[in-house]
Amino acid sequence: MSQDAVWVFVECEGGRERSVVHELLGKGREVADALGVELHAILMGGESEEVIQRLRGHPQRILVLENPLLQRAGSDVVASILSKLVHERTPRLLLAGSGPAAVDILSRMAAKLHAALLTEVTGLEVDASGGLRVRRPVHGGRAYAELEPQCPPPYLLAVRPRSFPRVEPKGDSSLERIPVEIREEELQLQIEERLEAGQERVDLTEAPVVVSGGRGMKGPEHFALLEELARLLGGAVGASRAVVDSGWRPPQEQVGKSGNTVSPDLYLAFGISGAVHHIMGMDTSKYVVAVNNDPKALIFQYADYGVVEDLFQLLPPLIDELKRSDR
Amino acid sequence: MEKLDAVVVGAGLSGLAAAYYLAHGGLQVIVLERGDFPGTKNVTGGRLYVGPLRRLVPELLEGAPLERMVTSERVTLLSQEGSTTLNLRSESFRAPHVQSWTVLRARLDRWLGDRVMEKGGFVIPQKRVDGLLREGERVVGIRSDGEEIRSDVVVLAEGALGLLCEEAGLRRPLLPQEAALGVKEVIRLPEGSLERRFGLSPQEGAAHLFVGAVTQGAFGGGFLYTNQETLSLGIVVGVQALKDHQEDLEPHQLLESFKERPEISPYIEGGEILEYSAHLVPEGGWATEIRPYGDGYVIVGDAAGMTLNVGWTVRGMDLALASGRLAADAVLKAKQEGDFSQGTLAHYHRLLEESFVLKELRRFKNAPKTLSNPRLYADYPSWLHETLKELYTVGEGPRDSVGRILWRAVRKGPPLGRILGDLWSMRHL
Amino acid sequence: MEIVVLVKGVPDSEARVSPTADGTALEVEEKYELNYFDELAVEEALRLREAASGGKVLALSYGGGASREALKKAVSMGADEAVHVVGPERGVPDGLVTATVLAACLRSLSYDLILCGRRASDDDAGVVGPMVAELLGIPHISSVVKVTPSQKGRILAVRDAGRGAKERVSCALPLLLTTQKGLNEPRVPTIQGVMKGMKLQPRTITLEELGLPKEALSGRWRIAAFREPPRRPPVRFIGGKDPAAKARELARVLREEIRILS
Ligand SMILES: Cc1cc2nc3c(=O)[nH]c(=O)nc-3n(C[C@H](O)[C@H](O)[C@H](O)COP(=O)(O)OP(=O)(O)OC[C@H]3O[C@@H](n4cnc5c(N)ncnc54)[C@H](O)[C@@H]3O)c2cc1C
Ligand SMILES: Cc1cc2nc3c(=O)[nH]c(=O)nc-3n(C[C@H](O)[C@H](O)[C@H](O)COP(=O)(O)OP(=O)(O)OC[C@H]3O[C@@H](n4cnc5c(N)ncnc54)[C@H](O)[C@@H]3O)c2cc1C
Ligand SMILES: Nc1ncnc2c1ncn2[C@@H]1O[C@H](COP(=O)(O)O)[C@@H](O)[C@H]1O
Repeated sequence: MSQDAVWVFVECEGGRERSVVHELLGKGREVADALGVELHAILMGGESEEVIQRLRGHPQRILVLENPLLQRAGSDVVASILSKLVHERTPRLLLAGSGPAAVDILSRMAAKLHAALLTEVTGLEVDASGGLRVRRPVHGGRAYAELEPQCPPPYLLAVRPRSFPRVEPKGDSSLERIPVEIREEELQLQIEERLEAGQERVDLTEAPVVVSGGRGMKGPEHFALLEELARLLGGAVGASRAVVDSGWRPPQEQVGKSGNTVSPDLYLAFGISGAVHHIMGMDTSKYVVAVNNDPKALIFQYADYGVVEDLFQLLPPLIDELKRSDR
Repeated sequence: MEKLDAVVVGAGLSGLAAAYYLAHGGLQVIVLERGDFPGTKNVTGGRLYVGPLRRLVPELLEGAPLERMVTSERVTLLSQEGSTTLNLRSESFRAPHVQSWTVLRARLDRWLGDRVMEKGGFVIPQKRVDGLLREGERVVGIRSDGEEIRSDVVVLAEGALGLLCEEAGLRRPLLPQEAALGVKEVIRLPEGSLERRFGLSPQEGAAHLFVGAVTQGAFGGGFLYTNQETLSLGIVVGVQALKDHQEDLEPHQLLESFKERPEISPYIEGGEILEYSAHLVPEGGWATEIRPYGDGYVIVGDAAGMTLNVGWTVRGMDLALASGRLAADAVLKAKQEGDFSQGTLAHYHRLLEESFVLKELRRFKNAPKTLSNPRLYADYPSWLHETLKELYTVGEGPRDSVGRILWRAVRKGPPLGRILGDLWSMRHL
Repeated sequence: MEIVVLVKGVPDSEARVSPTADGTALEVEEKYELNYFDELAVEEALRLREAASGGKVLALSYGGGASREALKKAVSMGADEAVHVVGPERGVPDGLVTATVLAACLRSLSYDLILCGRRASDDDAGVVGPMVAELLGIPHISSVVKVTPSQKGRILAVRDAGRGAKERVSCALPLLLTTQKGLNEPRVPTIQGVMKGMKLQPRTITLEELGLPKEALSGRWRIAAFREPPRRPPVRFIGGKDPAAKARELARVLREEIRILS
């Protein structure tokens, strides 16, 4: 019964599935059950067998697309292959994790298939009659829109990481390998070189905890304190634009309107004033803790907990304190 | 680019009024403003006397976002420990020819900017004028961020500091005793509390001035104006006084202590501070004698020293609007004659002379000197307060008679001759 | 090189945005600015034109008053031409409709390169660029942080590949690029530029003129409701006699109230 199935697109980065994939599989299972259909995971071949092993048990079926050229294919080619498959197998819903690569692919698919697409989705519900209601923030989180499709499926949804909980797998999955055809000349984009970031970094948008620093950190050398705190809390380091523009931290760590949107369980802001541009990128975090020596700092209006203190006085004892409880 | 007719420096009331009438007269005019939009940088205690302006700039009053009509005038003399308040209410304050309204500059200036644009003028924010282009004595344009813009005439409406005018030698710098520093907060109150706290109906407003211990006895005072949903609260202190008492007079600190006074705190309780600003007020009045025109330029508003402080009334906005209008008239005439030399632009000066602007400024020429009298801010407020307090105090023992109390007051107070002298000097106000 | 930049006007960051009480509509204060990423796109287009010392930069926008503001800004920065496809003040919540309109208009224009923003700050969708590329049947490179034209009608670009990784990619023209922060520092318009923008009368094109069928303009999604974002309770300040005491209390909050370490 593959008609009307719910599909989850398994996006891999550096040989590993993005952690959002497990959130999608959990939610996908719930939606598929409600609709009385199967859940399928779909991934590009060439990824390791370990990825497939980790997916097992969530979906009824795992579809693996196989062609050695896939690894070099741009979003146009991937979109075209997936569109063909969607056309043949008519899934009802395709879920992917919001992120540049997936959004590129889904956008092209929507244009090809004239399908309904929403990105940055944070909520998804199915009612008794199988109707879909999708929730997403607009205007940098200053409001939420709830939308319903008014066209036939498929519905393509790019879901913001950390919107749904991870669920433990149950049951087993069958495996289907699907050879796909790609001609060399279809690959218009040529990747000449890939410059990896120096070290293995946690993706900011997927981290459960983000420890951010602003201009109040005074200089790049002091971010070691935040890195240590992030390590203790199992999180990633973020930064305000002032910090990125000063060259203290790399651009991919920027949180805000012109940077990343994050929604971790806990967002810690050290020496960040709380300009709207910054708030637009972190206001959906579950808990916000702000540390600033100015009691009037705007950031406190967006925080659950505030500490009015010189961050250089607070950080060392805080780190000690957390190390103690680590043991 | 072809030469423009006029460049206006500064989108305050004077610059916008000038630009409006220039555009109205068909001239190609641009207004350059260093702030993010007109009004962002402009501070005003908050009341505009519209009476004198009715005939001069009717287009700029029609539909203007004025806040509340002042129907209640209050003055409080503050001593260290208490205060004496005079509350004046009159129906006659509503008459069109004497009306005054509270205003918020962020709103009013922006609105005026839109009017200028409707007339075909261009108001260009985020552009600071760095200098004037000269050819000999003649001003022929401006310089901004490396760009040169030429025009027949430059309208200098840059406000109190007048740095451009000063740099170009068009006026001398303000002396410390000719300037005061104003700091101000706009505070939003919970709905309805403004009317309740001030006993006002929804359209009515109050203007409240404070003299005495606000400024630790230095030249200056405090003010409070009611806007539609907010209060404008601030203090003004003489720059000379700030220089003389460097440690103990810190304007922001003075405002904080002012807000803690029991005379003020109930008014602002539960309020949210929307903005904080600081600005210079020229207090020299016409005594500064700036010639407001020359070859290829006119100076309007505060930049030309057109403010009037008579103690209980502070005026600058009406003079700014009026001078902008009159300058525009003179420039339009110059355009007609095709001559922008000082000979033609002197017409602006004549128009000022004929209008209320120079008449008023001349009349109160000596006011600044009178107001610089320190006894007005230290001795009199506490003396009056002590005396009245005794009259109203009932304790265990028998109270002294009014006669005795007054006699003691006279003996304790400043010498009679000095009081009479001070009173006599008040004729300048 | 002929470059078309897709520009969108969005409410500025300070504009008030709030759902109506019944949740059926969104009230948005009419204060518009050029979308940040589109500003980068305009700047890059101008730099490419200047480097090639020739060519043309055309700004294209679909929408109502916000589009006019966006086009004004693009022209004040230095774009040579502006085309306004006149649409409703509030578009439908479907990027594909926008992309369809823009692509239809682009078919009537000549271009070697199309530049557009990575995403717009009002809908945060990030879909229009790749959709336009797909509808026109041309390749696209997204999130570019560096662009260099190479000979033989190719573009060399560096793109942000996520997690700090970068890719050097090359592709033949015609091509669409979406911009990422870091690409450039947009110029501040000169006074003369601003005046040019204010005087701008963009070329307007109506949807009828584009000959799009009605179905192409109806969105695939219907807004069921707008909601306020969940409000946080007022901030709770963590006190303590000294930094160490505050740190202790904060650690306790993290453990016991936020339960981050359990
Ligand atoms: C179009 C546009 C897009 C933008 N996009 C973004 C964006 O994506 N992300 C972003 O962050 N910004 C963005 N901005 C910039 C934003 O407006 C602010 O300028 C920026 O967020 C300020 O960064 P900050 O809080 O680190 O610095 P500041 O505003 O300088 O704040 C520093 C804070 O540190 C505090 N502090 C100083 N010393 C100490 C100490 N010892 N202990 C404790 N606290 C201390 C100070 O009290 C202050 O509150 C954008 C702006 C524009 C115009
Ligand atoms: C605390 C305080 C209380 C006051 N209370 C009252 C009152 O109750 N009633 C009253 O009538 N008046 C009052 N005044 C006086 C009144 O505010 C001024 O007289 C009036 O604002 C003068 O208008 P203006 O247009 O000349 O100057 P401003 O309003 O100061 O405008 C000057 C403009 O020029 C811009 N500018 C300056 N330099 C440059 C440059 N180089 N390039 C580009 N732009 C530039 C500034 O940003 C500003 O927008 C008060 C003033 C203060 C400070
Ligand atoms: N109405 C529009 N007119 C012109 N360009 C647009 C429009 N909407 C979106 N774009 C372009 O597409 C980019 C991504 O927008 P979005 O998909 O809405 O996030 C923007 O940065 C613009 O460059």
